[in-house]
Amino acid sequence: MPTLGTYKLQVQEKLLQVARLVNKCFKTQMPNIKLQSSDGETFEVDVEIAKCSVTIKTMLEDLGMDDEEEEVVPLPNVNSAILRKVIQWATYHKDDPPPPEDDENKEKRTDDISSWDADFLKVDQGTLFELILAANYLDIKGLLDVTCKTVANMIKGKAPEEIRKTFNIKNDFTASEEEQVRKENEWCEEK
Amino acid sequence: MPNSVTESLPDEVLEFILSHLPPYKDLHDCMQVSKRWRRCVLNVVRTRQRNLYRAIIDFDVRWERITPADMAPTITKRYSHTAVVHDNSMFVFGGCTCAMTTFNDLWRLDLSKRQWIRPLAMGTYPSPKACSSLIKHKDSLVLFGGWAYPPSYPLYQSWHLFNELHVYDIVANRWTCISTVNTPPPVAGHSVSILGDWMVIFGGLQKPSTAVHCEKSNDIWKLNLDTWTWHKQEVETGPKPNGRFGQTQVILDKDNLLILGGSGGPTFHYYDAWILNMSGNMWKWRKVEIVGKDNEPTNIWSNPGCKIGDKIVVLNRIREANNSSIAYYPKTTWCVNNQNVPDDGRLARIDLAARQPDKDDNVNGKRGILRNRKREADDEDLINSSNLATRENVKIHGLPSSSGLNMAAFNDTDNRRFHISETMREKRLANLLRVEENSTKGTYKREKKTHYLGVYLLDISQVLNENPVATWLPPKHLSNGPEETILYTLVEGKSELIMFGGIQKDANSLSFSMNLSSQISNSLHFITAPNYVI
Repeated sequence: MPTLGTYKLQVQEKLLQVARLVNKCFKTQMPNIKLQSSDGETFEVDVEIAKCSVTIKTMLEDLGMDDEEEEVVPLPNVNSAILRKVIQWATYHKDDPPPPEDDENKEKRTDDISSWDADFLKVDQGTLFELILAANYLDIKGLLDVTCKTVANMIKGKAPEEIRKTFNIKNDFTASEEEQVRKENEWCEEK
Repeated sequence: MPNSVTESLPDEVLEFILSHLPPYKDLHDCMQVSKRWRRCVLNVVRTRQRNLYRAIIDFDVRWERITPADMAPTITKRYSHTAVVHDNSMFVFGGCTCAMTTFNDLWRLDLSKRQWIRPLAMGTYPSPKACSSLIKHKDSLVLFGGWAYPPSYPLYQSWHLFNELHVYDIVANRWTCISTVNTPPPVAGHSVSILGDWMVIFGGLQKPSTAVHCEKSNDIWKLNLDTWTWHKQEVETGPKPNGRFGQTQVILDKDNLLILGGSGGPTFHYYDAWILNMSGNMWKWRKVEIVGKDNEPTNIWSNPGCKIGDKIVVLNRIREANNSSIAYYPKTTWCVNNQNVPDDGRLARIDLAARQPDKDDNVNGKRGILRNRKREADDEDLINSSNLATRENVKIHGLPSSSGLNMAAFNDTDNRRFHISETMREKRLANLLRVEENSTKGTYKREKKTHYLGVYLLDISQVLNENPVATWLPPKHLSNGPEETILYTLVEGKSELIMFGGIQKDANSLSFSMNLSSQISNSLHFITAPNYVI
């Protein structure tokens, strides 16, 4: 027959176990990961947020990087200013429902950018394009979608010359080539 | 930063950006930006075309609907109009309202902005008419034929067919009436193609000058678009398609046309296909063997087809499981007396159909489709809900009055029925009553079940072989389109199909219709491929 004292001890022990479990749960649920930008700055990010980047997710899984150990993931293609923006975007969108497995039947439109995203993307062109590159490199579909839509909206309704001016593109057509392209029907090629 | 920020983007990202642009003027403008952009645009175009074709052969298309409320000003609701895509626009001419009032207005849909524009043209306007043909030739549209229902006074007037020829100059925004000699007789519901400088028309409902009544024609006429002269084309003797209207006509190559389906009158519709070989002085018809009849649409006369690659797309009511087998059940089985009735609801429904044997004219020739399909659908519901698919259903239903109906059910002495609980029976009777009631209330209330349009595909890749064969492909997915509609137009845009207008009606019960006003449509439906994947 156990005495009252041993009971107390057992209960205490159980409580401790529970506390440890809870602690562990919290820990495994919200561990942090360190991302290092090209210019050497380190960002501590929630793993779940970092994993919205398929690139980072695959890296963690393939390389078996343990969540417990505080590894530093180097991102040599992203500078700190852009990485900060990307993390800001990912943090805001962390609770978004995951994109449907195949959102094929979703309409393809460019006027469905949320107001938060629209504000977030009120940046100079250089930053916008660097965000696209980062989203492409980090494989963050949502961010790539919204940034590319923003650029598409900048192109829409513009004449070729206006597009060139907007994006500072050099016209490498000769006058006759340009005339030829103007008359070209891109849809008439054999399928 | 490099000279241009866009230069830093990989090609696939630039293509992804470009894939978000409407595939019309915007994309064409991008092509002129630089050599790299042109290359990327061409890739996007190729991908879009491939995606549409793949989506269609997989029956996995995306429907996008633009309701008229979204756009102002907007085109009036109409059906039996004609539509053609030219460059970045779709032009729509004529058609009619529910009161058979015909239009002579021309509308232009800006396909990049998805906006209706009504160009106020100069020149000589065509008559208000429906079922005419509009086709593009260079920067013009050629309009021919059609019919109009004259105003009710004077009363003796009959409906009117046209053989007037108009050309709309898109750049000058002007209609010109062209007078021709040796004109074909007035015609409507014909099919038309342009091959080089020739416009070729086939069939239609004609009224020869000597005749009192209209005739279904199988004549071929061609119009030289330089000299504006008509020629009646002779064909080699041998089998040729019967006279018809409302058929689909597509160009296979510079020497061959294909016609498909059409109507030979209110109770007779065609499901056949023919190749017209146009080389030489004497043209020649060849009949195409149709394979895959099980997958054939029920209506290819008021639902136009559209050619995409080596397939013809036809929209038709989505076939439901178990539905098709009923419609084609041999008529003799209807009369079999109920000895060995399978308890699966199938025969019961056939008997339901048989309770109106005097409506045998419903059977539209070849396929034996019952015209009154709405009612059938209700009946099927009923059977499903009561789960009592025995011949008693039929008996009860066949009785004329609702009081007699109750009696019939309860007087039934058939032993097989005693295991059925009273509540089930009551439920079933309530259903019966409702169906009976609905069916007497006219079309509106009867429409309990809504049917939707889906894609049907005819593979025409083998039609130019020695033995021409076309195959209806088994559907893979059933992607829901709009509510069942007929007499709309279906034309190919850039990597999309555009369906406009029509009348939301079951083709098989058209003659029952009383009040159609709310069922005429001015909606636009775009059939496109699922999204671009980078």
